[in-house]
Amino acid sequence: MQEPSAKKIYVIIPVINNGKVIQKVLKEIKDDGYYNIIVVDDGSEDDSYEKAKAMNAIVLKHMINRGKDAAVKTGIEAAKILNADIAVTMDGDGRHNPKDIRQMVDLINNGIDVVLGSRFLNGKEMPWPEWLTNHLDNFLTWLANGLWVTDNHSNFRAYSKRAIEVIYTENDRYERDSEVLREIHRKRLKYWEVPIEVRHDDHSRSRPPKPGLKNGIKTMIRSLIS
Amino acid sequence: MLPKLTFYQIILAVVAIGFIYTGLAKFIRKEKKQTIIKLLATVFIWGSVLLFAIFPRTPHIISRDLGFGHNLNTLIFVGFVVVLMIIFKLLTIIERLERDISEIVRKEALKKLNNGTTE
Repeated sequence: MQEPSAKKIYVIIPVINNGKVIQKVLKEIKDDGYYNIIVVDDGSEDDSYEKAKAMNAIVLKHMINRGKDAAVKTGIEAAKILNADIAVTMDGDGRHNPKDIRQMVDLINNGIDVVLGSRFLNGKEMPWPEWLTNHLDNFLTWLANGLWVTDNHSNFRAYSKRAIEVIYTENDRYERDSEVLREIHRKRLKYWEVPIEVRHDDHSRSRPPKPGLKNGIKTMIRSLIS
Repeated sequence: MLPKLTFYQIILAVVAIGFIYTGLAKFIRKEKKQTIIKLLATVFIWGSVLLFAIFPRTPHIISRDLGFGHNLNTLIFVGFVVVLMIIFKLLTIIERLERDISEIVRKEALKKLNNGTTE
């Protein structure tokens, strides 16, 4: 399949101990026509680095673990160096479906600066405790960052060249997602949310969950004092 | 009517006004690190210093009204404030160190790209 546009699209994937699935994830992305892939190995202890390298991806290695957000930031910096027109970030455990990239790229091509993937726009009902936690988290994020979104902790996002250049984040561990929202608000970037599919297999289920509400509170406090 | 001020009171007041002015200027210039919370904290702390410098009897009145009449209570209260300030300072330093470590790790990871190779 051909790449869906003439623009240089880089897919950025942070990984840590994803050796079991990384080749499958990369193959799927390539099958969808995206050949520029930056894998950031955040200090894995398994063979994630070698396996990603074998798939001809651009593989960068953090010598010690610095957190998922630090890895994503390294990927974004790499995309800047490689003069990317569009950067797409997604998880390395296979939970995100590369087929969703197309709609994000189309929106960027239509003038949107940041496209945010949302797990909660796909019409599926969620259990009420999860609904409540998510809404409370969204509320805190809105309070701190001035932007209401339905899913502020999704790493499946696409950035235009302008967004790649102007978005500045500092935190390393699960706070970049919210920081990006603050930057969208402060720098008046155009954004759009799209529904994304989230797949769960044994590998992704075994990964530690993201600290949702706790992270929201932390980000709000940090936004107020820093 | 302003009370008669000593040399030290004037110095303290000038320093406090200087800090408040700098904080306000930073906020008006929309400097990245100057949030409304920081501005309010600056105005509160240095405003208090200014007030106490010009009207030195104010702390006694506040202390009496808040029930800090006894020296020990005041000492414990001040102690808590100092400990909290130290913890806050330490957290800020740790955070800065964490960021510095990440930057070093990032630079190392991007070295080959900066050298023009992806291998």
